[in-house]
Amino acid sequence: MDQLITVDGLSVWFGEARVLADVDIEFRKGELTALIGPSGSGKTTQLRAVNRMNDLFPGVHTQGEVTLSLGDASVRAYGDGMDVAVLRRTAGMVFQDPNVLPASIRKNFALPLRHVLGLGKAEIEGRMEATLRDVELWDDVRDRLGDPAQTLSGGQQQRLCLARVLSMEPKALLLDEPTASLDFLATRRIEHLLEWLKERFPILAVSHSLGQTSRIADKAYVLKEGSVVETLDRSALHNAERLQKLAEELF
Amino acid sequence: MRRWREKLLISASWVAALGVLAVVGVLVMFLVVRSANVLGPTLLFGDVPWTQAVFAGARVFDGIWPAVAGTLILVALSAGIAIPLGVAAGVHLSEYAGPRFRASVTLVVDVLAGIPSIVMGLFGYSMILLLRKTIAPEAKTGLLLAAACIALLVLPYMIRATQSALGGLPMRIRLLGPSLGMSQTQTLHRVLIPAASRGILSGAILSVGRAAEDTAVIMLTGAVATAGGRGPQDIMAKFEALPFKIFVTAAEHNTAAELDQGFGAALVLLALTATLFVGAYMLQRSLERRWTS
Repeated sequence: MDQLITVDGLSVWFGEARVLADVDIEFRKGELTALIGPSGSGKTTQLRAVNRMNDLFPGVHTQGEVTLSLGDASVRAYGDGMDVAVLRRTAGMVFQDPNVLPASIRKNFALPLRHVLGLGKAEIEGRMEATLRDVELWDDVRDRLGDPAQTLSGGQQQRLCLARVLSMEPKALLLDEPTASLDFLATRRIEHLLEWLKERFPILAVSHSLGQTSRIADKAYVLKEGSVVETLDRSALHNAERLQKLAEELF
Repeated sequence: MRRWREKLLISASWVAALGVLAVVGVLVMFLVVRSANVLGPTLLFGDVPWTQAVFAGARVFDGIWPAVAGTLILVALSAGIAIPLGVAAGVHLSEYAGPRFRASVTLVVDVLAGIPSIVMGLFGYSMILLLRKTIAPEAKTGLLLAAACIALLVLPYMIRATQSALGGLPMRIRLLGPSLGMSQTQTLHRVLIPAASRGILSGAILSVGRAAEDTAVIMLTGAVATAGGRGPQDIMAKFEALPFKIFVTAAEHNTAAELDQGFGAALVLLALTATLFVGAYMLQRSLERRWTS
């Protein structure tokens, strides 16, 4: 079965202010879907609506539905009886700035794996090693797993966060400008990883750069003032003239 | 002009920092010099062997051991009341309370923090009077009452320290737990409280120091100059405590030797609080190490 996440008629209010207005998008396995737009256009709110992270902010009200079709059955993120903890495990999230726990590298894996998934020590070590290998970080950290995670470089920390999310075995990934705080090389490494991960999960990524979107995305939704104003497919993303025009309009 | 001003500011802050060191140094030196004659086991235990006094409950009339024991138990009891209550209240205010409830409780906590300790002592004393006239004619002042009043005195520090340590955590660390599928309780317990532990513990240290040194509350709620030469035997009984001992000695000493003993008691009180602080610091370090590794 096709693995995809659909957002239907989604509107989000922060207090009185409507941040998203009637947004319809979908993203599926095999494609990397990007959300682009000027700052304040609602990209992060859209991303956080998928795993209901917006619920953590006071005064937020959401209308519409997000449907996750990731296995045999479809589940509705805003449906009755949805366990948000399960939803957030299903759609794993990576933040804009590397969000490591102020603790050791090992603890960054052990804490969620033990307390959320209830795994034992051996399994935690196994998953940690496997996912750190996936993000090509294992060789750098294998001898210093007890060191504070903050001692890693920004790019390494972001790959650690990605590995930590992967170790929870999610079924979809939500990425909030994962390369915004990284240098050129670190950015390229993450982009390279995403090329590979999109074959495993549906990925929705907020991006701050049109260049990056055109490089790695298969589809992009352009958000402006809380609405989708344009949808770009692969050919549009490679059309330099069209991108140039878009850049002038948006930024 | 600006550089000159900057230099002045830097020198002023150096002077201020060194000034604090100097004042503390002079104070400690003064206490050491004044109590030099009496420093030693006899200051604490008089002629009684210390093992007898500490473990067998032998009566010590010439030493300050009963007051040391009284202060230690008083601090332990009041910290035992105030720390869990204060942390729980601070967590509630920071994490669960609605904005209106939070604002009103915060105001009450601030008022509580502003109450002079002598008033807190009077409050405890009046409570006993009230109890005697109503349901408990046998009620009298004692260790438990004093500990409860001290706990009330330090409670606002604990609440505020917990509340501001948690409230000061950046949003990103608050989002981390939920984003990994943790429940609110798990996030609080596994991520937020450990991350705020340093601030919470510094509130506890402040409270313990305050509990150890306060005199006004205990003189109205159960501290006495001599309680039979022993540390507290019963939490309802009258007790000796170091700050009150120092106060009484300063006010009513008959001989120079007694005054020297008062200075000795002051030095012991200082050493006691310093030890409690170091203990708390080490506890915090070991908790932090356990959490981070």
